[in-house]
Amino acid sequence: MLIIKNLKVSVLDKKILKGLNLEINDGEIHAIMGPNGTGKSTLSKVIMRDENYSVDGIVKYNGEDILKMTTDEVARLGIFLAMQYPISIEGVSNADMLRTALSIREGKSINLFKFVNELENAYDELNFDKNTIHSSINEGFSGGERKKNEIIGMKMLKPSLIILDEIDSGVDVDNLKIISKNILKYKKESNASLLIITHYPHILKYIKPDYVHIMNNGKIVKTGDYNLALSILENGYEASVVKEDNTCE
Amino acid sequence: MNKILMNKKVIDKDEVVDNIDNSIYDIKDNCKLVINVDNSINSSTFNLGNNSELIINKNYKLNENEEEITINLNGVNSRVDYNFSTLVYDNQKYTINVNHNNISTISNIINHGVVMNDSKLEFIVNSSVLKGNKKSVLNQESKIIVLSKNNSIIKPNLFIDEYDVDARHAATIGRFSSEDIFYLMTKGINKEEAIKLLINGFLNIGR
Repeated sequence: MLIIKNLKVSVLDKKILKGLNLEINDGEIHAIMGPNGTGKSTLSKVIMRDENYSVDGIVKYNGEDILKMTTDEVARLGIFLAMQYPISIEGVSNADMLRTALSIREGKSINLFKFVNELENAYDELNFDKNTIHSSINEGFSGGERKKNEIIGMKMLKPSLIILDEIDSGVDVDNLKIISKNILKYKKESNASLLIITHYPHILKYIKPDYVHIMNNGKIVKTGDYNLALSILENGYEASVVKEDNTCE
Repeated sequence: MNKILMNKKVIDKDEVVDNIDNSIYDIKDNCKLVINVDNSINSSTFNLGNNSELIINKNYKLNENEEEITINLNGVNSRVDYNFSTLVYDNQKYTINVNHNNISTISNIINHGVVMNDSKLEFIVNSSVLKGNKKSVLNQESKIIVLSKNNSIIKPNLFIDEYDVDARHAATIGRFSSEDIFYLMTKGINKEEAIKLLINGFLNIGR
């Protein structure tokens, strides 16, 4: 269970999140929607303890105080972030990275045969070229391929909370279906919870959320169900939000 | 250096070696010499004949070391590919002289170093083309990653007296990016192991 209370975040002197509250119970699917620049990606990076932000408030996962942890410790609690812009790393392969990550979590070297088998299966299920297993992470990949690669990482690391930051951007319809199918399959097997960050309700057609939150100006300003996402698609953000808070900054 | 004391070796067929001593190597026309070493080759000279090829792959993890290698591309179409990576804890200096002494000669010189402490790593690459040696291709790429205070130096020298050549050189000294480290850490890898992965990856590039 993820609990966020009165979360305030700034970079240098710029306030980005201004008292955000959110609770995600095990197995729930939440979507956060909102226009550009409202702090959606910031939220995902703060949960992953990106050191570039100054943070105040409470963020707890299964009772553990995330704000006292380092990025790798948060990941090992079972939180996985599929990044909006996954970077490429020359010389380090996907297999190297995932094998190292799993070994650290297990506290010992992992069974290589089992690992390679599982990794190859993940590539197959995402319809991804297995020849890239041992080539540099994301090097020469398109935006869509990079997103698929994040989902391969998800399947291998088996998180209990998955944060998808704009997983649909740069991905064509066919690949979005493959990505969604894999996420749903994993969710069914694991009862993981999902936090989907997105501009467009498109992905929510494939992964139906239990809750939809609209974020604006560093806060969640409205919460509803899937119908709220449909209303945004039809009417836009402005009309979908009855502004409750018009205080000046 | 007193070259009279150096052994002279003639390469008159294709060869792969994993160990060399201080010598002058004459690689005859149409022959190829591949050298894979992880021990210092101190100071050696290579003379290449027509259409001959030299490939040097060096991966070092040595104590204090100084090396000077001279490669003379004497024959038409002769070519050298030099891939070097070094993990550095002590002062080290590497000088590579590449002389393009004929037309259509190719040199590709790659140096990668990771300096783990305040030691000094020097890459001095001198590539030269005399007038008339047209259609030669020269490439130099030297990169150093420092994990502590930087004392390292790269000299990416090109001495070219001919218009009709394709020459490029790149030299960078820097650190691993915080984005790379963050990305690896979000997968559950601690900072120390993330940096180890990046070091191994960086030293493997070009192999």
